[in-house]
Amino acid sequence: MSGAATPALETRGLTAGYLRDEPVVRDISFSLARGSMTALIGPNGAGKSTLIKAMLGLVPFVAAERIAFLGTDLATARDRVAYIPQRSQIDWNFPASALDIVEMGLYPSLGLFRRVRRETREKAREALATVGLADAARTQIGELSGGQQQRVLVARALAQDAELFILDEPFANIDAFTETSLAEVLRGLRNRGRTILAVHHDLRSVRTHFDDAILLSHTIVAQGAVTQVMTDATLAQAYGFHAEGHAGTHA
Amino acid sequence: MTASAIGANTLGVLAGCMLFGALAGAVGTFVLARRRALVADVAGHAALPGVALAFLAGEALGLGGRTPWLLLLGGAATALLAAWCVPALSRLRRIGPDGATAVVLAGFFGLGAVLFSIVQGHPAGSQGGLRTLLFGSAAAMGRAEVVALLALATATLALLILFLRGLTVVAFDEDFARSAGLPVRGLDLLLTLLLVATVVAGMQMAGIVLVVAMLITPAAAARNLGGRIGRVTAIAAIVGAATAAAGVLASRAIAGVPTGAAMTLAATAAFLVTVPYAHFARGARA
Repeated sequence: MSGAATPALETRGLTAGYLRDEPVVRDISFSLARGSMTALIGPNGAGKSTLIKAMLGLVPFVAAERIAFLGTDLATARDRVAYIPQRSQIDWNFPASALDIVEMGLYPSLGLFRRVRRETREKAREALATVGLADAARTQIGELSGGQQQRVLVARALAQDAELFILDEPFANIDAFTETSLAEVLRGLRNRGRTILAVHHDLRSVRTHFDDAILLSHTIVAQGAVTQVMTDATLAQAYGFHAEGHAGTHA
Repeated sequence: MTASAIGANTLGVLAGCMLFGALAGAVGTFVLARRRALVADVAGHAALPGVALAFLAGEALGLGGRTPWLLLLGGAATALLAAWCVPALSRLRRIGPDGATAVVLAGFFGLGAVLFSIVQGHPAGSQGGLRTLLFGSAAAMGRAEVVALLALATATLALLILFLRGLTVVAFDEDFARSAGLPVRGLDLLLTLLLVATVVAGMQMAGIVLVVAMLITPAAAARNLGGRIGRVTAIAAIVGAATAAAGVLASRAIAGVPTGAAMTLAATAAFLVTVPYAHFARGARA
């Protein structure tokens, strides 16, 4: 079933938004090969978060010819797809420890009632160690720094042991150390054949962190290898004139 | 209800009120975490028309107006309807959730007040005063009321424990819960049902106007003390049980003080004690 030939994520003709008749993204078609690492880039309000949420069924109005996760529908592939929301979208005052949050990554396969076993709980501890937070397992999440909170969310996805990771702005508002270690964790996942799609807003670091990119401005402007996607012409088209400074890294 | 009958019931009433306090604290922890505190207020006020209708229905059907299960059912029905109206009206973007909350709460309460004036004109209804239902009276509770409270509270607590995991995940990160395949709408409906069950279980004791205090104030005090969700829930339950007992005893000791008001003051006192702790704990972190 999960042959390497089937894309990790595929969508055709997707149109979605929060209000009927006011789509935020239109006619989106792309496919991600297994083991690829793709940045979803575009200006503010381009619909980057809306697009990934739409594929995951988190947006009220979604129409598409096809949305396939690991060659099947989301309901079937659910425990193999990890979603990491924007850090700002979460209530960090919630009464929980870092380990509590990471253990939530076990729920997609456990459902509402099956008990967390000792060996699966060990998975959660390992995931925290992988992101360098082994010592923070019992720390209240509200006491963690922004970078540590982001790493907790990534650890939750690692504990899920997914094949496809969908991240919303994982590199937003974090310290340089977290950015480096997070990029390392993601590359490690890719090297083990996992697929990564991340909303990303810092054009300067797209080349450093990712192989491929999708440039979005309500519709797809360009997609493919980062160097092909990030040309002066495509960026100007997506961002307008202001982006030329950001695009200056073009070789 | 005579004074001697109350005396015989005192232990039962005390046990019932402590169980209600514990339940309200535990359910309130999740209501607060899901940011639905004002829905508890809406549900309380909106129980009034249902209780009045149930009284009239009970009289009309020959069951008697003060049939406990019928009053609970009536109160729960209109409380649920109101709790459903708030999110439904919030979708009208020109109003927003706070506007919808105010409109629904006032509308249901106004209807309840009108219906209650009819009940009080009724020969069987005149002795069951509106004030008792508004602000609570443990003294007015008979054996049947206590039994109904104990049964409802036990069932509600069992459901809460059964669905602890789902309710926790949804409160922390709704989108993740949905992406993980958890039934978010179902869990939200469950939380509303638990909330309404708690409200009607406690309405005679705590009163419908102040029952929100027993749901939210002990939970808020427990949140101030910090810790993980299990600890917060346990502390909220203990604070709820203790303040409920204090309220019942105080209202018995001081003539004319409504039970719900005494409970509310006790819970508020417990909350105030925790405020400096929350303040300094935050200060130490910053």
